[in-house]
Amino acid sequence: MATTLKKRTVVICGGGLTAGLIARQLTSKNVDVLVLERGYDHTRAAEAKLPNQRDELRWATHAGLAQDWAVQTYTLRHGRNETALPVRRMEAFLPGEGMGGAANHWNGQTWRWAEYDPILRTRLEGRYGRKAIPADMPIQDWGVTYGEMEPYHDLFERLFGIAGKAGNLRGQIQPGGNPFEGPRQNEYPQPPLETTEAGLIFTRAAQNLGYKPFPMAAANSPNAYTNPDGMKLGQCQYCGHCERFICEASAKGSPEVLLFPLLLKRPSFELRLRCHVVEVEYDRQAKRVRGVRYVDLVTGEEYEQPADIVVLASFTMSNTKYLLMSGIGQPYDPTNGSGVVGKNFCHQMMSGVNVFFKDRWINPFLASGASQTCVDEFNEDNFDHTGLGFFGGGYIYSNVTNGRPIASRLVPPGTPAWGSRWKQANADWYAHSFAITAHGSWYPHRENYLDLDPTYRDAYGQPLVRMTMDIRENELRMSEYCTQRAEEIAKETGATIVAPGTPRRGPYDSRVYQTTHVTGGTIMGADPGTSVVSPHLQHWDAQNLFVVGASVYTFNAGYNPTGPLAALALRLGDDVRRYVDRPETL
Amino acid sequence: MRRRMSVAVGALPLFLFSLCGGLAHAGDASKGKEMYSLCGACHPTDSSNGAGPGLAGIVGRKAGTAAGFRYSRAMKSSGIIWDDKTLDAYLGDPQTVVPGNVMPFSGIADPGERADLVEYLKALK
Repeated sequence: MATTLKKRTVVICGGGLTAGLIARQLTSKNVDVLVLERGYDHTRAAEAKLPNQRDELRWATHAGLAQDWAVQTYTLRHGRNETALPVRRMEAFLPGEGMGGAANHWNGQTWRWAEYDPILRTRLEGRYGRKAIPADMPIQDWGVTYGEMEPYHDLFERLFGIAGKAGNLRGQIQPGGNPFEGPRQNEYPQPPLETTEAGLIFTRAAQNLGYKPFPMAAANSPNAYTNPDGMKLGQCQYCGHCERFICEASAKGSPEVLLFPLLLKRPSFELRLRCHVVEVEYDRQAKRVRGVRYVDLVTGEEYEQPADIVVLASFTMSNTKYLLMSGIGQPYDPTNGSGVVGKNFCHQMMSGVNVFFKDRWINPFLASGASQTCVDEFNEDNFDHTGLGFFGGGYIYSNVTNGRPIASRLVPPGTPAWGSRWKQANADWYAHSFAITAHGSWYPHRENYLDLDPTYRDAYGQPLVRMTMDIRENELRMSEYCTQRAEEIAKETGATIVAPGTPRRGPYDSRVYQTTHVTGGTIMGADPGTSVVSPHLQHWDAQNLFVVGASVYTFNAGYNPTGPLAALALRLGDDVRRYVDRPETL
Repeated sequence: MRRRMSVAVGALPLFLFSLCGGLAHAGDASKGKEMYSLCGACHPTDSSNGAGPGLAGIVGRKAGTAAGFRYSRAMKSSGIIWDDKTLDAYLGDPQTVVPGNVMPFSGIADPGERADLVEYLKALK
C-alpha cells in the first residue's frame, strides 16, 4: 500500500540539468518545488575527488556514473519483424544517474543550434520544395523560434560561464567565430579555451581549404568564474577527465556545482534522493495529472506524491516511458503513422579519420572536454543539399578530449591488434595522433520509434522501453558525405599517415559509443495531432503536466543538444511560474 | 630519493624568491580578496569544507588538519605549518612544494599577486 504524502505545488521527476534550471527559475519566486531523483549526491564522493576521480576503469570503461543496467535497461530490434532483445551492457549512449544526471559526465560541448533548426521543415520545403522531403521522414517544426529562445540561451551561457567566440553578434559576422551561428545579443561570458596542438594543425588545414575554423564553445571554465547567482567555477586544468568524469577542479559547468548548492539553500526547494518514480497518476476525464507514484529505494516503500503540477525532466528514454506507463497520450503506431508517444526517436552519427604526425607532439592528455577546433560548413542545412540524396550533416573537428590510457590508443592502419608490434605502435604514435571527426545529425524515420517491450521487465517489474531503430539510408549517405569532407581536411594537414575514413555503417550497434544524445519520443509542436507537448512544453492531454529534455526534439541535429535543452528548461521555468498564478493552456 | 631531492631543489629558490618579494611588496588584502576568486570554487572562507578544506584560521595551522576534511597522504605528512613563507611557496608551485598533493591548481606565478593573496588569507579567522 502506498502512503499518500502532503500535496506539493510543483513536482519534478529527475534531478539533472533541466530540473535544476527549472527549479532555479521557480524558487527565485518562492514557488514550492520538490525534485525526485533516483540516484544519490556524488558531491565530494570518490568519483569527484582525486585520486579516485581518475580511475578510468571505474568511471570511463565501466561508465560508473551512468544508469545501472542491471536495474533498468532497454531492448533493441532493427525492424518490426524482429523480436527485441535486452541490451545487457549499453555503450551506445549513457543516461546519467544521481543529482546532476548526465550533466555530471558531459564534456561541456555547448552549441546553440542553427537559427533555422526550430523551423527545419519550413526551411527545407522552402529551399528544396515540398516534395523533396521523403514521406518516411516525419520532420516537423518545433512551434518556437530561435528568437524566442535567444534570451534563455544567453542566460544559460552566463549561468554556466560558457567560453567561446561569437560568430554572429546581432547580425554582424565576427572573425574567429562560427559564421553559421544564429544572431546573438552578447559575446560569450568567457574567452575561448586554449587551442590545442591538434587544433592548430586543424585550423591551418581547414583555412587552406577555404573554411572558417573556430573554437568550440565550452562549459570548461578557462578562468575562475563567478556567475550571476554568485556560484563559482574553478579554472580548468586541461587534465583530460571531463567526459565520463566529474570535474575534480569544480571547473566544468554542471548542476552539482552551479545549481543544486544554490537551490538547497532556498526555503521553497526540496530534493529527495534515491526516489524512483514509477508512474504519473492521470485523470483521463479531467485531462489532468494528480501527482506521481514513487519507490523510496532505501526503504523499498511506495509513496503517492500529489502535486498541482508535474514536470517530467528525466532522460529521453524515461520521459517517454512515464507517458507510456501512465497511459497519457496516444502511443505511436508505425503501421499507419497515427499516435505520437514514442515517435521520432533519433540518435547521432559519429565518424572520422585518424591522422598521425611523426614530428608533431599532439599530447592528447592535455585537453579539456570541449577544447576543440571546428568547422560548421557541412552541418545541417549550412550547405546546398540539391542532388545529394540526403538531408542533414555535421560539424567537423579536431577531436581531442583526453589521452586516457585504456581508451585513447590510435594506431596506424595495418597494426596488429595485440603483441609486440601493437605495443611498438602505441609507443610510436600515442603522443602523435588524433582523430578528425564528423559529429553528424540523425533525422527521424517512420520506422524508428520507442514503445514498451512485450516481454522483458526491469527490477521494478515494469516493461523495458523497446527501441525499434536502425541507421536508415538518409543517415548512411550523410555519414558518407561528411566523412569524405573530414578526409579532405585530414589530407590537407600534411600528416605522415592518414588512415582511411570510417563512415558510420549499419546495423545500429548498442556496443559502440556514439554520443549520449538520443532524442524524441515526446516531441513538441504546434499541432496536437503530431506532437506530445505544445511549444510551451505543456502536454496536450494533461494541462498541468509538462515535459522537457531532448525527448521533445523533433529531430537530432549535428550539434550537441545541451544548449537548446537548457534554454527550453529556463523558459519552461518561467512558463510554469505563470501557470502557477493562472492555470490555463499556455 | 629522487623525489625528495626535487622537493629540496624546487622549494629552495621559491623560498628565497618569496623572501625578496615579501620585502619589496607588502601584500594588499583587498587585492588578495579579488585573487581569491581563483580559490573560491573549492575553498570556503569559513570552517566548513567544500571540494577543498575551509580556510578560516589557515595561517598558523598545521597542513592537513582541518576538521572533517579528507586530505591526501602527501599533505598530511608534509609537516608544513602555514605562514607567509610556506603559503607563498605552496601557492607558487603546489606540486613542487608538496609532491603528490591532490589540489588541482597549477599555481600563481606573480610574487606580488601571491603576497596579496596571503595577506587576504591571514585575515580569514
